[in-house]
Amino acid sequence: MSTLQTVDLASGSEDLIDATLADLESDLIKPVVRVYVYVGTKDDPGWDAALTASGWLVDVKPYLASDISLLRKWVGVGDPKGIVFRKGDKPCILLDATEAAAEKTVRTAIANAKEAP
Amino acid sequence: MKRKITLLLAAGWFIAAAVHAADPESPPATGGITHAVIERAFDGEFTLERSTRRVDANSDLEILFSPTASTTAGDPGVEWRRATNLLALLNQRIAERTALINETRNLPTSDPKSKAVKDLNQRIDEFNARAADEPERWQQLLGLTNSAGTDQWKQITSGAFDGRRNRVQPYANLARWLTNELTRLNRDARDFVRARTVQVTVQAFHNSLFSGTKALHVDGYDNIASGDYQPIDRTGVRLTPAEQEQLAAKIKANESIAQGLRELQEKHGDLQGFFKAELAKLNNALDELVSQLHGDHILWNADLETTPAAKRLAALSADATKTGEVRKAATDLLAAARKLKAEIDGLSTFALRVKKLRDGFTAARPTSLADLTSFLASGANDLKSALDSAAEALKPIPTWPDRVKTMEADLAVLGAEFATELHDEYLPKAVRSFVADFSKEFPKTADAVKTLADFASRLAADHGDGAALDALADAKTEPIWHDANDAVKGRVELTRAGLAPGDRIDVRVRYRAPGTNGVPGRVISDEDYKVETVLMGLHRKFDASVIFARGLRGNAAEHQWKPSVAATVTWHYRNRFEDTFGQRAWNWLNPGFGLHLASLNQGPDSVEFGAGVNVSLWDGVLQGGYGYNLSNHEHPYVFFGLGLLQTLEKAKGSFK
Repeated sequence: MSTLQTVDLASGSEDLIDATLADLESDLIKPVVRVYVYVGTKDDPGWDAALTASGWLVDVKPYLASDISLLRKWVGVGDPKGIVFRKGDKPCILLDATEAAAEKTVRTAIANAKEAP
Repeated sequence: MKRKITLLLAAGWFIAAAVHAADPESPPATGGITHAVIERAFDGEFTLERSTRRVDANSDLEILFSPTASTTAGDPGVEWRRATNLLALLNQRIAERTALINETRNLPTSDPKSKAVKDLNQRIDEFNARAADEPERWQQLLGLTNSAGTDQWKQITSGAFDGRRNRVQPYANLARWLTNELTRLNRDARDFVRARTVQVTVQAFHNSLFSGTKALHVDGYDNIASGDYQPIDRTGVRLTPAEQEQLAAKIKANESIAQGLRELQEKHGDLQGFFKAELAKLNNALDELVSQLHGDHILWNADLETTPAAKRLAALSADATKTGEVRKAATDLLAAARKLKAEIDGLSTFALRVKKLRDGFTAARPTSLADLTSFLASGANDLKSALDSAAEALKPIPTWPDRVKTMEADLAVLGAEFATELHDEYLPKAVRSFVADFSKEFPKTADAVKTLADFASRLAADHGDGAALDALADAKTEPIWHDANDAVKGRVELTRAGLAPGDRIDVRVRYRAPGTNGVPGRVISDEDYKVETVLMGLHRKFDASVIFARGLRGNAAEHQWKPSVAATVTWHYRNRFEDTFGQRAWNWLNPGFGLHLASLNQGPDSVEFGAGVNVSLWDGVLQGGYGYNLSNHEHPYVFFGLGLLQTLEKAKGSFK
């Protein structure tokens, strides 16, 4: 069964909490937001990179998706491991497994993600 | 006489000139810290050099410490500065990030086209753009770029380094790690400084020719009691207790000198004769001791354990068939005889030591004070040991006569139980007679021993550098040591030192290495400031001098120059600075004008007083005056005086 999880940045904790697609969709329509979804498990280096990059930056909401199938409506075909969103329902940047495991790359990608005009 | 006076004048001139010669010294370097000694006086503040010779007697001396500019011990180092700067930057970033998060939460509108949203997004983009690169720069700054460093960097930013992992808080994790690093660096820096710094203390001593050396209280550096506030009356005639004591001592000393001069004048005596007479007295004292102590009659050879008399007394003591009175008398007699014999044996030992000393003295035949000093110095330990044993040996002597009477009474109680022929064996007549005679002579012996002991202790007295140590020991306090980087200001209040003008003050700034395991470090250096206390500017001075006075009227005897003593009060002016020739010349000459009261010896009365005016040069070394003999028809007289004590005092100070 595919799952979606996130962290409660307001509490300052890295503990995972369950989330829904509705939560993700809700975040994507917020006026000021950067969303990063990592596809994998919580023990992957990619999730480690996602959390750390979120900590260095401001207003990044990280999601951990167990399966890309949850995100098909946004990414279509392909098998990206990291997806960067700004406001709206179009992903800005897609990262492969190697890129998603590199914290600096993830951080730079999120920081450079521009809002769609 | 005229020739002698000329010689004395020449000697006084020479010594006075030598007194004014300065011998500047340069202070040794003390790494990491330097000090300054400041005189705070009525006319300003002045820095003392080690060559400074005089301070105002009413001033405070302050000792200030400061680190040298070139010190490296206190430098925190590049690592410390880097960590401190980075921590400050991190705190700034954390504050910026928190502010942006709060703004996001409190956005007044959700309209993406609103200015507030656009503006906030722009600022978040700016922050994030900077954050995209900054962590790597910090990683590089901290030198964590190689493989191991990168692992450590991850440990730090994730919070795993101290077991508090929280990857969404990299700023806080890094700040916590830096804080720990700074604590470590600070501790290392303190250890570094402590290992390389020195400790300091300040000690002060008051040295008076008349009352010896004593330790003075230094604020911040000891617990010696501070004295009473007794400033010296600068121009008035009120005397402080210390001045009164000094004046009385000077008058007494000058009386003694004047008396000696009168004897020289009247009897043409010679010093060699004086010393010969004193040596003869010492020889006689030793002779007397030997003759009193070393007689065959005190060699009581009886064995009080195995002789028939001793056995008989022991048997009587234990014989249950005898009366209690007899048994007790026998027991007491046995114990009393043994005790008396032990004491007399002790005295014999002392007698043998005195005999050895006396024989040595006879063989050495000292004919001068120098010979005597040399002889006693070579046998100083023997003499001291002999005198120590004398104290024990002589203590019971006054009790002897009564104890012998008790023994005789016990013999009477025993009566026929103890044969008369045994009496003499047990308590010989010679011993009885020695006890009677010696006890009668005992005070003389004790006096002779005391004379010797006094003489020995005077010769052994340490008047040199040991005086300061003695003064510290007398004060019964340990100096307080401060680390150089924590050295407090030291202060000596001369107005509480109980000093009189002319007394010396020694301030010692001592540096030592830090100790380890409670063991004090070695002394690195001592810097001594030895100054004479004087009154600067216009001031008065009380003094006493030997004068040679001559009547201007009366018979031929009154017209003779005769040595006497005058107490004087003179007013002087001393320039603090000696920048010009005039100032130097004035201070060198140090003229004074004043009044005097003299004891004279011109008329028929045994006690004569004269009073008048006087002038002095070289701070009282040479004086002249005119006055009237109040006890001899107010005949006028003139005098000139030589401040021999002043000269000696200054000479001692100058050449110390």
